[in-house]
Amino acid sequence: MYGKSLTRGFRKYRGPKARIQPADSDSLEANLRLNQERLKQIFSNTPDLIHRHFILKANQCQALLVYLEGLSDKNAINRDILHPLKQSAAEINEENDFPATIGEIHRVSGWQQIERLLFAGYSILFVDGQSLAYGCGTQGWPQRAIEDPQLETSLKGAHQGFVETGSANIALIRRYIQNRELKIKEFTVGARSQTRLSILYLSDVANAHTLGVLEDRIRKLDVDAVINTGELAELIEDSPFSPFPQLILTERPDAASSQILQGKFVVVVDRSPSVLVGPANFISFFQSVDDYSTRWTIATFIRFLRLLAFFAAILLPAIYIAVVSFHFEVIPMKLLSTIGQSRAKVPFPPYMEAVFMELTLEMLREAGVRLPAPVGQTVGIVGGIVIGQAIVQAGLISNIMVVVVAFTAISSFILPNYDMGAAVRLVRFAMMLFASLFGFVGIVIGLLTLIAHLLSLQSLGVPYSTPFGPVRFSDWKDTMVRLPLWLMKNRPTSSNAQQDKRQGDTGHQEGDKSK
Amino acid sequence: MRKSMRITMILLMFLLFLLFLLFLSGCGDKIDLEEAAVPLAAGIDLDENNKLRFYVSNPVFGDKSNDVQQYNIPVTSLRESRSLQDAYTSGALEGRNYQVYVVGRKLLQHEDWFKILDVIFRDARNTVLDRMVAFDGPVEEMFAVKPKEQPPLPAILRGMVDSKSKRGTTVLTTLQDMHRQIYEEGLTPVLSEVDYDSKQKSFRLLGTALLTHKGKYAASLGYQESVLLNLLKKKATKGVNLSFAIPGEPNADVFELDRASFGIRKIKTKIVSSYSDNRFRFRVQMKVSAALTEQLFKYDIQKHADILEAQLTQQMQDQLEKLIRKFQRNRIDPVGFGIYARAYQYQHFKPLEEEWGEVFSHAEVDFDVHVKIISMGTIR
Repeated sequence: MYGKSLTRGFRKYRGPKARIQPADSDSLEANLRLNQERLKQIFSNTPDLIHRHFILKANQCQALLVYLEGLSDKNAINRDILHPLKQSAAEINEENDFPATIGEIHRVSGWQQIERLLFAGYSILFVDGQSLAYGCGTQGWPQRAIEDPQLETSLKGAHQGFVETGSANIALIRRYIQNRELKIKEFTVGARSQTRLSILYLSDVANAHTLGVLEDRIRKLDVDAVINTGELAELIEDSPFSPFPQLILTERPDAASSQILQGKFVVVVDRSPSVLVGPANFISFFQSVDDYSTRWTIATFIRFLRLLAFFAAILLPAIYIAVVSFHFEVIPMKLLSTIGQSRAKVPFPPYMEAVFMELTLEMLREAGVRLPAPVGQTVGIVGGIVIGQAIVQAGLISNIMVVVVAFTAISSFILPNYDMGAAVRLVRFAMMLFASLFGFVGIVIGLLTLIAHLLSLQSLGVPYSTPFGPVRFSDWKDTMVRLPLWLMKNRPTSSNAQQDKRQGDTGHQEGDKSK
Repeated sequence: MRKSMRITMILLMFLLFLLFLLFLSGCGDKIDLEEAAVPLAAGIDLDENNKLRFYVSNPVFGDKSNDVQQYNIPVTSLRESRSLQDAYTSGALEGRNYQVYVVGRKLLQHEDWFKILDVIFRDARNTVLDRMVAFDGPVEEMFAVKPKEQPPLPAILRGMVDSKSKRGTTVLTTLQDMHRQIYEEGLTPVLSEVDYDSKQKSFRLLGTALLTHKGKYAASLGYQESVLLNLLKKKATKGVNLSFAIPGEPNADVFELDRASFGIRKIKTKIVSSYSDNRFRFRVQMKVSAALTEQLFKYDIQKHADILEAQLTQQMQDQLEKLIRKFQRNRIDPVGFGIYARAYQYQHFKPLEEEWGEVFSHAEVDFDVHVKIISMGTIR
């Protein structure tokens, strides 16, 4: 049953990677001058490739050290390679210990590998008379310090977010899961970008079949570059035409770790400050790290609030349109005159009014995102005043519509996941269209279509709308409500874990009289 | 390559389709709120030439708040004249938001007027939860009042009926209720009754209007009588107030100081029916737990509560009996004793169901009231 979904939704595999012309001959020459010429030929117009010629004292011959400026740690090169090599009496050859005080040394004999190492920040040492080069691990590129996550801020969670270095991100996750069962599978994707992808999972918990699906999809990728995790998600997701995100992107190591512990998979994309979590289900987009560090009653209340906000954000403008153009008998008498009066001056039909306002809101939001913080604030003020007051006074939009738009805006920002919030904003327009054509009937049709669509979705071959469809009652403890942690003894069944149990009789059990 | 082009084409077509949808006007029955006339109150009555007239009160959505458009239209039947009604409004008249439906006294003088309202029930778009109100006077007068200082007509009337029926001083009869009451043999219809106090320039709730089976006006009830009617109908339970004059207590000067009022905390009403000697007999048991709210004369309740209880019981029983005599005189049964008769004395009721009002006027109704004072208030 998974066979079809495997091939669904991604680009066809176009055979071997043939777009980049391989060199005529891959092996190195035993002559430094020839090698240097070859190097110049491969790296033409590459001024940041530093060549350093010197005499190797022990070998009594010419040597050449090359590295890409900016990608390598200059201090390490000076201190740990050049200095020891110039002092050392030991001869450098295949058998001897390499005298540099560097942890990682590769002995390479092919140009392709040299190329890859250079771009990864290694420095390469060529020795005259040897058809072998030495790659030294001197990576050191510009890095950002670990900061608070920007998009998924949390009140009580950790304040460390992922950064742009894959190995650092893996380390951040390892800090949470210090277990040898945490396995990492590495892939290199992107013919031109050579992006390192690492799948992290607990080998004795995570489902092997799902891992197979994920690996298979990553292996079949044949693209120039994967710049960002979002690109990867789009390339490997199950239904590319759905508005809903089917894989979670998170920039929080704690969130990613807790997903791994549930038996899910995390894909760390090197150079991208967010990781991919899958398989995801619909309700997991409503869960936030803070839910588990606040008291469970409050967390439950907030969960309800989010679901309410989800429906409000999708339906509120649609309901407004339906009520004002079709079903005004449902408006209570006192509200009727209020709505009637605010609508009376407006020259547009309700649908146009709503679309206009919602589009304005989206523009304001987008403008605020793109602008630097101080200017972004100005946009907020201008938007608030122009939209809030002037447009109503000018008689272009009714008061009630402004209230509706404001409410929906707040609702869509309550959702803890940005991608889900964006999906909601898009679905809203479809709902408004349905409502303007068929009133409440249209809204019902739209909602049913939406539910049917959600039920049909899959994430890495696992049903997207579990635990609601297929129904898994034991998982409902952590859905619309968030029951106390000591009640969630088993991992969610939706992740099809090999081991169900995740805790024993912890905390406030019935037999525990000491409490 | 070709596959990706096809997908692009499909997406483009879909977007184009969406774009066209934008310009569709939608279903035929779509009317934007501000284009429809949304009358909140309707009335029907006969004019001086005995011609049927239809009255509506429309809120006007515009700069001036509280502005209403009120007019009356000569009609023969409500639906046939829809175009006539529409002729007076800028939009289409939609009978979907009526809050009150007023019938005039003159119309109520005639039988079978209710059949005119057929369209309200047949066309499912019309609301049937509007409060039906009998107006003591010509409805034209009511709709001619331009509410400058007070809230609009529908709001006042609806509020009046809703709040007063909770306290038992009138009944809450929606159009749907009215439909049931008209077609129910064992019951005669009741409506809340309102008039216009021209001195105070204000509408005033009078109490309850009692109609015969065929909908003809029979009698009116005041506040206390309405409360008793509601108690008999088991519609009023808690919180209603009754007030009685206790005989033998002295009056002083201009003040009537023989008054005692109580609020009902708990009441249990039981109606038992029987049939003997060619008459229906009903026995009404009422157990009232009363909380004194007012007592204008000097009396030591703590010691002699039983005497006051007996007097209150007597007064209440007298008034109830008087009320039943009033019903019987008018050959009506607003309480619905007929429903008990049908339930328990079916063989005797069935042949007489067409003329229940007449039959009820010969029935015997006994009362067994028991008032118990459970609270005397916060002062002695």
